[in-house]
Amino acid sequence: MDSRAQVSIEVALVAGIAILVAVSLVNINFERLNLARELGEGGEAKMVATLIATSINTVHANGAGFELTLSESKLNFTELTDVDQGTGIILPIIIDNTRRKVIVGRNMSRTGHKGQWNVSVSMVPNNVVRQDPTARYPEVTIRNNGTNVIVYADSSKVRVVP
Amino acid sequence: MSSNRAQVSIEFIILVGALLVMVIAVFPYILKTNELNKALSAARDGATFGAGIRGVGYQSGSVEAPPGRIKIKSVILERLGRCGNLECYRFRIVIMMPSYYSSNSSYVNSIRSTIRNQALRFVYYAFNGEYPASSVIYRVNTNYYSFNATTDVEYY
Repeated sequence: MDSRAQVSIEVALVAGIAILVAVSLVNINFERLNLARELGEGGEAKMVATLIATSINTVHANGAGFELTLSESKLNFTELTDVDQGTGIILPIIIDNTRRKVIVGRNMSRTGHKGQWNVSVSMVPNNVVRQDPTARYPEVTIRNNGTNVIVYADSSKVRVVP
Repeated sequence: MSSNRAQVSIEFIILVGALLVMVIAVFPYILKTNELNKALSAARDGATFGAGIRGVGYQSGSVEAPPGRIKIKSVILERLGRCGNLECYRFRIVIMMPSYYSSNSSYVNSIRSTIRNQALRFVYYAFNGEYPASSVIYRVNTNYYSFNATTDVEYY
């Protein structure tokens, strides 16, 4: 009976100290989790910009008639825009002909930031236009018609700036 | 058997009592040191985050610095003396970046500003459990200390 009482005091002491230590570390741990996720997803967002810029460059370089389609398995806007489970990309993705850049914005609210942070990747052509997707050219198809590089995507997802 | 148990119990109580007295005596010191360590750890995390996110190429405001290998070489805590009721400390963050940044001071200043701000934002979060409402902060006050930050740049 005495032994049990002693164990009880020891357990209470150890548990109390453990709780104190855990409480003091919990913020730092959440901070590090958010830091790692934010950096990783920031890299993912840049990969999206790189994917689109590379695709535009490839279509531009291969000349009239060349086209490629970024299927949903490569560019899934639902997953990309999900802040909790996805990448937290803010649509539309901007294709800027004047600056020759593909610009992707990210929601950084997990680390307390309001608004969006942008990352951009350079592209070669400055004659990119957007058109709504069709049955022949589904979202997101990129096609060279000899005059322009056409991106077939909804205007809420991709916006081309002259 | 029974008397053995009683002896162990008395020894244990004496030991625990002595430990408690020692812990209570150094408790204020532990709290203050813990606060410094926590702040320094959070500042390192924040500076690393700022360096990482700018290194990937994310822009801050209108300044679009090119991506590059931006590293945090060290974060040093400097004591500045007392300011009011608090002890003032400064994080000196040494940033390493490629030499091609040096030709454009707006790139360098923007990256320095991001890293300094992120370090202080993470310190604020570590003590308050939430990020500051203001996007830019210059000082974080805790129970015992007041922290600000400055940056030095080394090129490679």
